[in-house]
Amino acid sequence: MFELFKAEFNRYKKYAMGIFVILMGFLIFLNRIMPLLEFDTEYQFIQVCLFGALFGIVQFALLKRKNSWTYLIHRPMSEFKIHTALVAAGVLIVFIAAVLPFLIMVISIDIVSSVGDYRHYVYCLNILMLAMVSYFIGSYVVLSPNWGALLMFPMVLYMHVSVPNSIGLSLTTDMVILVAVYYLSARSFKANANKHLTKKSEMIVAVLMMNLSLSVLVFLSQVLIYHMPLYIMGTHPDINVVKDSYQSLWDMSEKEQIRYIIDQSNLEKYSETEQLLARVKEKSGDSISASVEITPFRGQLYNKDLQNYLIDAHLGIKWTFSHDEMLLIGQHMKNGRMMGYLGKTGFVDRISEQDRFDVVPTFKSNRFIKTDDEIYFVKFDEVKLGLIFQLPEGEKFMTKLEYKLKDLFVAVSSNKSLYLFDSVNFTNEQILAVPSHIINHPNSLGRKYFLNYINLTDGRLFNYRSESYFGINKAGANLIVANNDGSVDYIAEMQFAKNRYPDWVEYMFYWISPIVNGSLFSIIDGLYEPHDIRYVQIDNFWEIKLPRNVVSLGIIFLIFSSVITYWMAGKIEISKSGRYFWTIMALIFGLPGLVSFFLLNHWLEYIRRGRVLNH
Amino acid sequence: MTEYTVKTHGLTKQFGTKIALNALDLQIEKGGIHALIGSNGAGKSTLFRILLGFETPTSGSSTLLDIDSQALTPEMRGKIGYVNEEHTLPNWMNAASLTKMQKKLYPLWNQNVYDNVIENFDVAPDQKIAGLSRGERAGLNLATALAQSPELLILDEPTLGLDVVAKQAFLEALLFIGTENESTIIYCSHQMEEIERVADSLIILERGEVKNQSTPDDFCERIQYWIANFYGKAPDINDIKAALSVKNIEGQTHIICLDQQIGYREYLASIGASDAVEVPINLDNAVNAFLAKNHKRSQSKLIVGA
Repeated sequence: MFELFKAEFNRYKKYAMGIFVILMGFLIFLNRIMPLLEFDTEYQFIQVCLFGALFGIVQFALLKRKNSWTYLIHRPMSEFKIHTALVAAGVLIVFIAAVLPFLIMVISIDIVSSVGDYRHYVYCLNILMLAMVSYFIGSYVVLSPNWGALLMFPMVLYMHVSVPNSIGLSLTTDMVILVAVYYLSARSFKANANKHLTKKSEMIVAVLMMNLSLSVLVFLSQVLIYHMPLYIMGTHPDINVVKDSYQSLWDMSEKEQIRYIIDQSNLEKYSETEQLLARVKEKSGDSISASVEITPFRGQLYNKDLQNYLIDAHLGIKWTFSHDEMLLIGQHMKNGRMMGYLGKTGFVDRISEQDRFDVVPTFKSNRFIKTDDEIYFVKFDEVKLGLIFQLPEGEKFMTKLEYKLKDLFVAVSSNKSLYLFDSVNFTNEQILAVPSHIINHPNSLGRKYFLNYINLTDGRLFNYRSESYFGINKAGANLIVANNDGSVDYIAEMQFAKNRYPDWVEYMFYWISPIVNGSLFSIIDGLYEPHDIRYVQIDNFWEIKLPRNVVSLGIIFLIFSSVITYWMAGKIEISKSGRYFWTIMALIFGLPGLVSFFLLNHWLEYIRRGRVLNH
Repeated sequence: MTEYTVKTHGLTKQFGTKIALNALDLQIEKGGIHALIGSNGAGKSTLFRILLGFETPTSGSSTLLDIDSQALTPEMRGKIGYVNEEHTLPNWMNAASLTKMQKKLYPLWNQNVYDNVIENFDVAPDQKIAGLSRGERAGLNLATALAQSPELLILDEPTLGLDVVAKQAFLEALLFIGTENESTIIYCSHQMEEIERVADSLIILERGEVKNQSTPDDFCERIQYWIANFYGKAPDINDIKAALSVKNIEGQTHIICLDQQIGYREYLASIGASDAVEVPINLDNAVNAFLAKNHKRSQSKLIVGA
């Protein structure tokens, strides 16, 4: 086996070394422009994945040419050992060409830098895993007799874009996907490469790995069957806004929106609509960021918080946050000298336990340090750090600190309330900042919402709106006035009577696969990305109440998928247990399960053969 | 009891609408050199691929050295050598590193055989395989395949594209091994002079079926070559009994026919031939006529079918 590994490695080592040299040169060049560890790593993601995938495809495509394949397989060595030797050589090549240059650069940078966190190397491991997953998918694309294997590439994107809340979860997920794609690559490496996977465990892994892409593809079919035809006919809801839908607000002026929300309000009828409208300073408003800030966590991949430093421009010191030490470490930007530490007790020369932050903070405007529930203000000229705001017990910041310079206020949201501060007094570090207004978020509000404000002659009018204001796909909006005297009036709250799209379009992601997409996927997604509310989250999963027609549609298509699968499995040479297996898979995975069945079986061959035999 | 290295039973392979092997029943005895011939598309390569487990048959079964060919173990693969027409070898290696790798892989590696075979070809140990001529490459491939001491060696058109000298060296090496040990060799080729020289038995495959399995001499016995004169136009090939080929050469009609040992002169006279003379036929002409007739038949069937 080692001889074969050596032979395969020798085949590509010159190319790998060539790429290694080019990449080293490129990284050195980047490091000259800007410290390498502050560069956005998207280029690296593309580079490692592209190289891994292409190399996997090229290596195995060259091996799979008819005569080469025979030469390779027909030897006194098990297929497993041959595959192991080949992929060991392949992974080494990928490592040398795609990862090693960066690793060498990181080691060199960390040797001279004040902050050499171990997470830099965890990131190297992460990109190696991305490269390996891409490589194994590339090899599987060639080894598998169906093009459905291509549908696994989005898993690499999923690994990259998802933001798990612990490095352990991140690496575990990467490892699970890596093991799955390796398993598929190894199992599909067989003398008869035209044969599909036959073991149930292999098929389950293949279906799981394809499910994400298949679900998205099936979901996107609504473009063909719904959106395009309606656009062509000119009756699409996006160009003919449905009255009383959430989107109908887009067509209204500010004053019309206010009047509409008050008119439709579920609260006690507001009696001073005209006076309120008279106070509105039209087109003077703006929006406040309501997207949940993905806060860094200790030891996370370094590329997720690239700008984790403050600069003391006057003294030329860069204060970089160290995840290993949990405080900022100062280093002179010119001579590289260590300049001390900045912890939550202030500037210190030696670290004591009380200096360390409890969580990894975020930085704003080179002056503010924000933890989960505290905001500090740094004054470099006075070598001073002051606590300027602390949330009440049980609350946690959810959004970033936002300065509204034009309107002279600062806004930040916790999980319960919106805090507004007078921007002039906010940085007076002598005293804790006191919010000018505290506006409680609407109770039922999901975490994905929009928050706008309009200036009034004597205050501000805030408007929360969300497509999931009252729960999943239950759109709503409200109006809240923050008066200049500090009082807050809750004016109106309404639920939109109609949705823009019919239920079958709106809820398609659920009914095409009610069990997996509608529940399992949502739970996993909710566990994995608690910050990112796109579909259903674990904490509100049980609150989903799908319309009855959507539930019926889900059941009908589950039955349809399993019946078609059962019938089709009977038409092809498949064992009885295989037939039941696929039927159950279709029942669990729904329409994507049905498509998987067609991708992972030789049904077309049987149909053609049947035609010839019948003829 | 006769021992067989290859056995197929009702072996069928269908690619879409094309039938490559049609319920093939074939048994190849242990020992000797067995030539497998057939026109392009006759199913030879498909048969090899199924025998080596690289294709699944649509139906039927096959065994190699008494083992199901779809379940060949690494040990079994070690006993079966295979040389394809491209002489696929790792181009990036040199001859010495290739043999070093093969030596470790094959426990029965026979260095004497390797040395004896490779000396017929001008291959230096440090020569890169990518730089070898086609003949040298074929030699290296054959030498490594034979040095593995296989019980069965399958050669799929190994002399394709070789010049006369390389071909000569290749055949000598093959004959050497034929006398040296008891390997069974299945030799697929279109070169009849090679087959005539080395083969102990001749298997003709046409449209996925065995059309002949005998010694080359016995096959030649089945084919007769007649030269006759016809007054006026000679009858069409389809109007002459058992004719495989009918040609008009310098005013005389040359007829090659199958299995007509007795009474054919009288038959020819009855259809208007005079001065019919039977002449000896070589294997090349016999096989060509045999294959050509079947080929034409399949073409005419296709036209009728269309």
